[in-house]
Amino acid sequence: MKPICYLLLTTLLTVVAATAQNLSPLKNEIEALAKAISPSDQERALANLRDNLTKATLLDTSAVPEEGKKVIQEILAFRRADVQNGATSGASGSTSAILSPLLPAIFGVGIETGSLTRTVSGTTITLKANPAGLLCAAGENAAAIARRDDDSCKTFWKRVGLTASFDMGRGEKKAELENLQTLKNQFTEFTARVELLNHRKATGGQYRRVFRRAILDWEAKAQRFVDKNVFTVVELIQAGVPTEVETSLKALMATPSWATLSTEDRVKEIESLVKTALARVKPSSSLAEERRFWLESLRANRRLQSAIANAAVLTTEYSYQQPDLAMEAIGTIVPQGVRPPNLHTARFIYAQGWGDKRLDLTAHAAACWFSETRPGMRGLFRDCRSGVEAKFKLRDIANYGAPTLSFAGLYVFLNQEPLGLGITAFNQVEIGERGHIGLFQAKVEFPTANNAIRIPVSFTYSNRTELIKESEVRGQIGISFNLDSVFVEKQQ
Amino acid sequence: MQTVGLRTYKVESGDFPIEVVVQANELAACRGVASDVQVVKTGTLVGSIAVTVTNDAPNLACSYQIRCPNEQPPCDLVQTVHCWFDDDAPDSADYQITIQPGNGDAAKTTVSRPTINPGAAVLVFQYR
Repeated sequence: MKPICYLLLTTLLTVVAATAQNLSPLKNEIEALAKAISPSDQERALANLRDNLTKATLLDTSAVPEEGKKVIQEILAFRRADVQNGATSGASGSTSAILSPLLPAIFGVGIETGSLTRTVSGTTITLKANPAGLLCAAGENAAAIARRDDDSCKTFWKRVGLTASFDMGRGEKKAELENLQTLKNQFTEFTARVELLNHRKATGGQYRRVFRRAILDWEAKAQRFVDKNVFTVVELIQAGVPTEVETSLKALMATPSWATLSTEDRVKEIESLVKTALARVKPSSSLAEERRFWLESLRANRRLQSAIANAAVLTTEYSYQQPDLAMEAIGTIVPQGVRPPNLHTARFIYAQGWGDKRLDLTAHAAACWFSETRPGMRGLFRDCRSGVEAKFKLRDIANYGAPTLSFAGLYVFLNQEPLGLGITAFNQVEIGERGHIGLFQAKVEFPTANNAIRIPVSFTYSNRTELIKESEVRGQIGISFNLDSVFVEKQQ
Repeated sequence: MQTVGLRTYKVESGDFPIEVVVQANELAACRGVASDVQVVKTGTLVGSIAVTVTNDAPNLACSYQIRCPNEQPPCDLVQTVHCWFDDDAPDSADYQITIQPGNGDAAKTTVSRPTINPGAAVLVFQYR
């Protein structure tokens, strides 16, 4: 901008009588200063508050036409609604028709009740861990690992996750252990997973490569905004506002009573001083262009954030399942009290967001084999399955996270009598035969505790289950703990 | 270079060029955006100094140099650095700005996560 523009702005930023100021765009900065104890924290918080004062000026609605007020309202909508500690929850369990491609970066636990294609419902506890993440988290930078920061744990093995599932309905109990379950016999499944591709945690150079188009768009708009904003900053400096705020706040914090004030009272004192200083400057409608540049840069940033949230993830996994004991003989294949053959499953899971919408699409394909062929079986191949899920991320709830609503369809082709999980005879109904299973699921997942704990509730309709050729409508509920956030909290 | 106030530095001709490094901490990428440096003399804008930002993406950093202004001292050099934070950035994420003069010790300042993006840092160099 040329000096002539500067002069023009000078005439428009006039000193006027006190006007009401909206300090909500400085809420975090003011609270940080109110909570700061050490001199270095106070200095940092004071500098951050002082240097963001132009936001209050830009968002002052007085003397702004109706159209400008709409822009201001839209900018204010970008205020931070919540604080999210730790990585986004990637946990999923057996109550999900379609598995999530993400595992916790360090450690997680899931408890699910219900079933999908199994005939007999049960309660399963799943432990999920990233061994490399656990080892790296033993060091100093556990918080960064929990956030999946590539630079904090530079090893291929961080892409590998392990899970183990335990069916709480299993296990023989002695009379004196009536209230205890023995884990030994409850083991049902072990899974090893490898992330082949995960652009959602791209950092550094990869971040710029993967999201190049969105970054260039955001960069151009952010540059335009800062180039405009620096003139408003100069205006405020010339009007003496930052100096006044800095001086008066330093004097306030030096008073003997400051240490005895509660945080709330400190916030009130700070707000009073900032309002007094800002009241000397009335924003002009000529700031409309700068305001528009700001809004456009915020929109571009949102598109970039959507691109990150919707980036591709491809995961492959192998799982080993140990079926239940047969309570009754199953033909000539499984005598009473003997386990059916163990199962091996190979699975690919791919997730990709839809444009810049809050919609995540996940597809998975899997094939399953028996570990051995027994007399009467049609070979090793048991089943193949594929499914898709559309997950809508709903509006964030402050301090909780974003609930999700998802719809999923799953198709399973049973190549032969299942003989796998859920083999227990059920209501005297004969074991099902080979054939097709179709399943539809609607699920709502509620977050709590900043996404560290999620509670999925789902309803499922299927034309049959593995063992019974009758349609079923079922409900499932679970709870998953993403313990990554514990590591983040510890660091903070 | 002498630190005389919050993000305010007294500099002499020997301090130029001033190297500024913006380092992102606990963020996926460095997204610091710097304005051109505005030169203010006796209360009037008299010119600007363009800066060319170099990205060091692998190290989550970017840097640029501020050359000596054409104007004679005394004058003030004012620059705004906007630091953008990802939506899922933790509370502890920040940007550290290191100001390294041609001679002497570096000064550092930190930009914390703001209420609304971007977090701003106003650097003032009093050229005397």
